Amino acid sequence: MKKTSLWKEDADASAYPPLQNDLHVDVAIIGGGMTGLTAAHLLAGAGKSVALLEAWRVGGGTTGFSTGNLYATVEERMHAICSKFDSETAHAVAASRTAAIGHIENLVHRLAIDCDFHRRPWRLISEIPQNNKILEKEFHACREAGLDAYLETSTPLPFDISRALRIENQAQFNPMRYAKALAAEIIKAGGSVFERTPVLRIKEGSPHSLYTENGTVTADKIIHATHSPKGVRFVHTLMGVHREYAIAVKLNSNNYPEGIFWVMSRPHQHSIRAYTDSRGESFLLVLGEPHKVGHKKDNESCFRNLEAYAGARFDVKSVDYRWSAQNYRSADGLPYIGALDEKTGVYIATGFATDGLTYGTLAAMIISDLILDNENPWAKLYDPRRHNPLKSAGRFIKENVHVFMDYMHDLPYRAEAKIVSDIRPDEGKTVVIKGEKFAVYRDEAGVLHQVSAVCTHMKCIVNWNAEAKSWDCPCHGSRFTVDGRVIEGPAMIDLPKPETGKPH
Amino acid sequence: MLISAIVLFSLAMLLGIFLLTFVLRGKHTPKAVAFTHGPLAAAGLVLLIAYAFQHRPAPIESLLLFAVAALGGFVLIAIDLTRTSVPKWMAVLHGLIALTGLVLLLRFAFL
Ligand SMILES: Cc1cc2nc3c(=O)[nH]c(=O)nc-3n(C[C@H](O)[C@H](O)[C@H](O)COP(=O)(O)OP(=O)(O)OC[C@H]3O[C@@H](n4cnc5c(N)ncnc54)[C@H](O)[C@@H]3O)c2cc1C
Repeated sequence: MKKTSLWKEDADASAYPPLQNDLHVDVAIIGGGMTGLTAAHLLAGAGKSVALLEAWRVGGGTTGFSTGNLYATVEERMHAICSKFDSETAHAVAASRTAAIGHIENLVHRLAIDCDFHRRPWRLISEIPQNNKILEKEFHACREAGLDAYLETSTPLPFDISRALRIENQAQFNPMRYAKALAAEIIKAGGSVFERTPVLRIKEGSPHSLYTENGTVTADKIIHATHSPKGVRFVHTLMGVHREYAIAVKLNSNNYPEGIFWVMSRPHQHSIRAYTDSRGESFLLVLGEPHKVGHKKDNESCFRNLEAYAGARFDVKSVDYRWSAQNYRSADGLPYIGALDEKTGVYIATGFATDGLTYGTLAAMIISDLILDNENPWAKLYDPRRHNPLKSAGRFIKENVHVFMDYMHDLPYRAEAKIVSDIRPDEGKTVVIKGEKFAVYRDEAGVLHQVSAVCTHMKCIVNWNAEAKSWDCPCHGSRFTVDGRVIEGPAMIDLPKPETGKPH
Repeated sequence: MLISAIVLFSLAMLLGIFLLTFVLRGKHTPKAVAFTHGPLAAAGLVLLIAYAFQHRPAPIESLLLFAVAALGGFVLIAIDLTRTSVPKWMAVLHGLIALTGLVLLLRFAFL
């Protein structure tokens, strides 16, 4: 079994050079996922000079660890948007997301991108009659949003269901192959792509300066296409950060259902889809088991639960892949896309929940229109400066109470292990050494990896993620490798190592 | 009310001194302490304001000093959470202002 995403395995590796010199461009884009790549492609195509800076590999963030589903509806449900806002807003959400899927489809056809793009139906499924009411509510909300929705009582799935809601003409693809192809197209359009180039510091000004290890990029505009914007921003207080788990399994029957299936479960839904890779091998993907980042001790259990869930519904032959990824849920249910203020030319795209392949594309469309001074019908809807305190209050309060409680765990001279020798091989724990908190991981060979346990974003104490072997910040979702390197989230600075350079 | 305010400020002061030992050594301040220190002092300030509304004479000097210290406290916690370290002089000044406020309050209450 491979501990990586199926998409990553089924796409050619990219090899763009790291930035090695100083550069001036019209637009600097931080992050090479769905959002950054699409924005870079649109802006380079419109004649702007563009540099895309990616900390690791293009597509290697959340994009390459997603499910690869493209749909006009949203994970947190259309009826929630209808009741929080109104049916006009739900209509605009569905129309904007449909336009983004259309943009992807156009590119796939125009550029002949080999990413297994197919139009497929999307289904929300209720297995038990108790869920039918919510399903019907969602059906009406989808109709109000202008989506071609139907109710049905059977699906191509091999287990019994009570009812299903179907929307035709949604889509699926391999997001990693799409991302790699977009990166190549950016170069063709005259843009630059730099991999293994984390942005370490941003100085906003005129022009903005983005500092990396071996070069500085100055730019008139910056796009934070990093899933969560970099640095300390108010928007972080508006979002809840969750990790979710995925497995790809093979079936004995070879009977892989076509389409997007969201099966309602308590407390969370499961997402199911099939995929046939470039060698002709088919897999069934099952995703779910979300939890707040840094808040689950035994997160290996999420995979066990997924396996049990899949095993109870399909004739599973083998579990071949497993991976996890992170998402950011906005306070009011809509993402934050656009300029941070009128003047500075700093743009963000975040709060996509698990709908960000489509929202990321939409964000790129909106932001490039803003930069190119084009009208965009949806710019106002998703404007990050929108004021709707009543719609945001519930999640805002809930998330910030969580953050406060996380800070309250930071007691003086208290940590998970008393001394480093208490930490067993392949275990990570916090330890207090000379009054300071360290995050210490002992690898399987017994070697200690020791870094500060204080998150460099807003100084929460990081928690060990046993599944991903990373240090995860429970407050705003920054994640770090065992050697302290930023993996994702708002932090830009690595966790410092002890001053001696040696483990204590 | 005045005595309760003095008790709250005194507890806040003890935690503040503890926090100051971390700041002066250039170490990460334990946030559970920082987030207890602030609310304790804020509760003391609320009681003091209520007392000043209800009684004459009122400890106006210490109230003003505590108000300034509270503003400084907001700045300090903002810096602490968002920058690498708190400027030591700022933490010491915040402490001295609050301490002066407490001394004046004690004098007002007991002398
Ligand atoms: C389990 C799961 C399944 C999902 N499935 C779907 C789905 O089926 N359909 C859907 O629409 N959405 C789905 N999503 C959501 C979707 O995957 C994401 O919202 C989307 O991929 C976000 O794209 P992005 O480009 O904004 O961010 P990312 O893909 O995360 O890209 C951000 C990039 O920024 C880089 N970066 C970060 N910091 C720096 C720095 N300092 N310097 C330079 N680069 C930096 C990262 O390395 C990364 O490559 C899913 C999410 C999860 C968690």
